[in-house]
Amino acid sequence: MFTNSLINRAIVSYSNQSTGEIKVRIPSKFEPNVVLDVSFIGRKQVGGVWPVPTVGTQVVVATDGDDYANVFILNVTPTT
Amino acid sequence: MIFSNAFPEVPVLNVTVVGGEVPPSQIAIVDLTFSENKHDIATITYAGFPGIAVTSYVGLPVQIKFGNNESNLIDFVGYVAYVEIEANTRMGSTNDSLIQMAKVVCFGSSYQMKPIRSTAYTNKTIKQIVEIFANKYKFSYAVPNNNYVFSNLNQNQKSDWEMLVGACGKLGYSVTAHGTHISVYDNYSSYYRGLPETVLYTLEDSKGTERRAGNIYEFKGFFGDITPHGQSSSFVFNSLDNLGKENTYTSVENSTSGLGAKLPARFTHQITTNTVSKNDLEQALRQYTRKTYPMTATAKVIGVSSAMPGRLAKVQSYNSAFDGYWVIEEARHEINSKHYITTLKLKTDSTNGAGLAPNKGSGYTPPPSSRLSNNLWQTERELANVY
Repeated sequence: MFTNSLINRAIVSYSNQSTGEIKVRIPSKFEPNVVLDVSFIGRKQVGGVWPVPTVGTQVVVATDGDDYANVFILNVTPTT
Repeated sequence: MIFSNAFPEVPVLNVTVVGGEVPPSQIAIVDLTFSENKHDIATITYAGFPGIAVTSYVGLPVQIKFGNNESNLIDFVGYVAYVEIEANTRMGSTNDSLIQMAKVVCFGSSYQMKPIRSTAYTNKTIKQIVEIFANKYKFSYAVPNNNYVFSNLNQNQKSDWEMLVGACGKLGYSVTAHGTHISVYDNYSSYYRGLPETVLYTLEDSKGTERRAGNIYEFKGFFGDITPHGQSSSFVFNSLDNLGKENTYTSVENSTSGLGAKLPARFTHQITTNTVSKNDLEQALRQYTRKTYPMTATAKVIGVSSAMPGRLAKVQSYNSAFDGYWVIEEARHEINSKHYITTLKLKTDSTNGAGLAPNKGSGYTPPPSSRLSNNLWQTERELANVY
């Protein structure tokens, strides 16, 4: 039940197709007020817009270190 | 009972359990342990303890002032964490109590930082992290002026104390919370900070034949690359940063303690990791180099209250390469009716084969004293010492 997994489910709390910014909450890791930026590593614009998930969507995120300095969304589905 | 004239080197000792009814005259032993990255711990052993006090003592604020003299007092403040009792029917009563012995175990003021949280800190320097906790608990603090910015720090299911120690450890820093003062420091900077020093005398030293604070009873040392106290190595770090660039950094590029000639390491470990930037890699390396010392020792000496973690102890007159400055990692002060003994855990990266670094520090700022407010220990005045 309580794990130290570096792969977790998260809720998108902010996303912007123009800038590519995505912010997520990870309820299994952090208190509700903690919002983390999603890394731009491995993402790119498609047809002039950034594919981002809509706010409120549940996504799967991963990190490459226990500090959560880089948070990645696995399998971002284009919304346009 | 600990008498003020019991033995020649008897320290000044004043124990106050706020709200406690057992008279100090029943105190048989006071044992204080100050260790880097750990809560301060004081154990007060009573000869005879009333049954009614056993549970009522839990949580009470405690203050213990002690020192070799009035000008050199150490102030422990904290709270009773638990009480351990022994009641042996065959031994009758002691001081009119069927509980012949009670150990009242107290944690320092940082005990307040125990509740677990799950939060994160974004784009913060270590100074800002320390400031957050100092303000929350109304402590004073001293912290190195390091401008490195943590892009994110994770406090998942950790107490504030664990978080603080962990964040400092990522930069190779150690933490203590004596009194109500958080001190963050680099062990390699002990020589440069001008903190009070402690001299440890051997029998060869002219002072060794006198009964005075700092005379060594026992000295047990470990010298080498791999000892029962850990291992000492060099490191080569390789990382991939956020720009997709591979970086390499070696411990040779990291500083030394300045305490003499650094002992060369036999082994070089290759460490690979993810980092945000090259600067991130340089900071990360310190958490390895500051944990490995080729020379460690335990010294049991006639009680000396100036010996505290992060300060220097000067060993002299063994006619050896290890005479010189050592960094104190832990100081345990045991006071009873017969003696005051200090046991020190020491470490250093250097022999005296080379001279000391020239820029020895001065201008140590003593921390403010503590006051009790609503049964919580707080600093008497704000002090933010960024050095």
